[in-house]
Amino acid sequence: MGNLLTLVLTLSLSLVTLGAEEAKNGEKLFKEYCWGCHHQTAEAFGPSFRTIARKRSRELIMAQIADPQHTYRQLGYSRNSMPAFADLNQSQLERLCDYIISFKDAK
Amino acid sequence: MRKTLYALIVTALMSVSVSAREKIFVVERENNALAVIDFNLLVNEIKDMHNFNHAVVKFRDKDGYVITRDGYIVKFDPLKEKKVSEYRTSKSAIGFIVGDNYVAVANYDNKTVEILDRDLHPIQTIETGSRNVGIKEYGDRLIFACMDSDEIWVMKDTTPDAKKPNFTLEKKVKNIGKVPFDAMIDKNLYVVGLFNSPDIGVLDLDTMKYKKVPLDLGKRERILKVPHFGFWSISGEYFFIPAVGNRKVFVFDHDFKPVKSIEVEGNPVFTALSPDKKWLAVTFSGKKFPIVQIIDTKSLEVVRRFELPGWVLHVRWSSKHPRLYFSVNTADMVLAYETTDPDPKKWWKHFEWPVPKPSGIFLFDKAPDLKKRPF
Repeated sequence: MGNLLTLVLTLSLSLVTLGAEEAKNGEKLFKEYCWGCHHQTAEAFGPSFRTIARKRSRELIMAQIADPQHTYRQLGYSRNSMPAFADLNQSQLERLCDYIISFKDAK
Repeated sequence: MRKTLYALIVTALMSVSVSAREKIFVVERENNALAVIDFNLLVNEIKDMHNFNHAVVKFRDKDGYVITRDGYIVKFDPLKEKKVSEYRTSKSAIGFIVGDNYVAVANYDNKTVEILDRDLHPIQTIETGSRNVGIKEYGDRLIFACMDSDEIWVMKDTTPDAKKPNFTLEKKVKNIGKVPFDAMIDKNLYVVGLFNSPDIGVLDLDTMKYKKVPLDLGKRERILKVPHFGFWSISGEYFFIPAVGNRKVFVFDHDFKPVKSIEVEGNPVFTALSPDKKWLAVTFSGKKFPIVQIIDTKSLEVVRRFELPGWVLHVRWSSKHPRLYFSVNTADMVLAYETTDPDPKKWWKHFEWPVPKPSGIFLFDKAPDLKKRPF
């Protein structure tokens, strides 16, 4: 019983650590790729992450990052200034998406 | 004897130069604070300045002003190092100018240009329906570009002798090219950068004639930071224009005939010209954020490469000392390099200040020439 409790605690701690690590990865990707044009909560050269998170589905956010040339009209824009980040792998896209969506309820 | 006299004169000149007082204000990007460096020491912080991502400082007379990412304009006293007043013009803004009797803010969100008096009382709101960039003044005119509608607006103060200005639209230049993102001004020429067109735009403010100057951009790379223009990159002979999405700095003469495109190490962000116009410092984005290159403005060749210990978000040449300041954001430091030697390879690190997450560096040169800090 004691061993089981230790195992559950260890697993929970690992998941918490993993979650924190993933959030950090999302922020790292933001600083590497997005930071020059987007801000978390303020409109800049591109829309804020808060605006993006409130208006778009997760799938659409990922599609816009990977291939904006084919999604910008669907998002209601008449022209596109965003470069494609098709070189990000699925895991990176997920982490970045998590990071963007985390600002949905930001003030 | 002659040598001794020469040495004395040099020493005297140096001491004059050293005693001239330059206060350095550095934006602490993550701390909502403005760091103060005085007498070559990090001495103070002006706090509670709102969101300082991309904050920009300007000085006029003995007043300091800051625009914050979340749309506040803050007036501060650069001598007492204290906030004086603040006013929120919008939810997001990065550009403004300070005239004799007004402050004009080009907002992103709301889509307006806001005119305030020098004490930040609102006077006028100009609705543009676009995010607004590249705001400049030319005599009694105010000029800015509309990023979303591809226009330049020229506003004229109809009451230039009154205490408060009253700007009316004098000229709207349409279809200037796609997505104007910043501008610079040289005498009567308003030069606008276009993000989605392979040109720059030039408006002659005397004749109101507009022309597009093509840029040989070649294959465009992915852009991770929108470049900045500034009057720093206009020398007596040349305009230096950072390429959008290419590893080049374009050089034009004052008739906008292309002189050269200088190959540089990364996609440029800032091109900063030294006060004697001899050197151009170029900063970069992406993986090249830690690199700064120095271009000799005579030979138009890269003559020095700095690799700093973190991301360089800003550089500034001192106007009082032979120095170049670097803001090394991810290493939490501001550096001053001594630039007296005519060979840039011999420039050396003179000061290092531990400023947390620094970005823009701004210089105030109207502090009294005292022997020590007055407080």
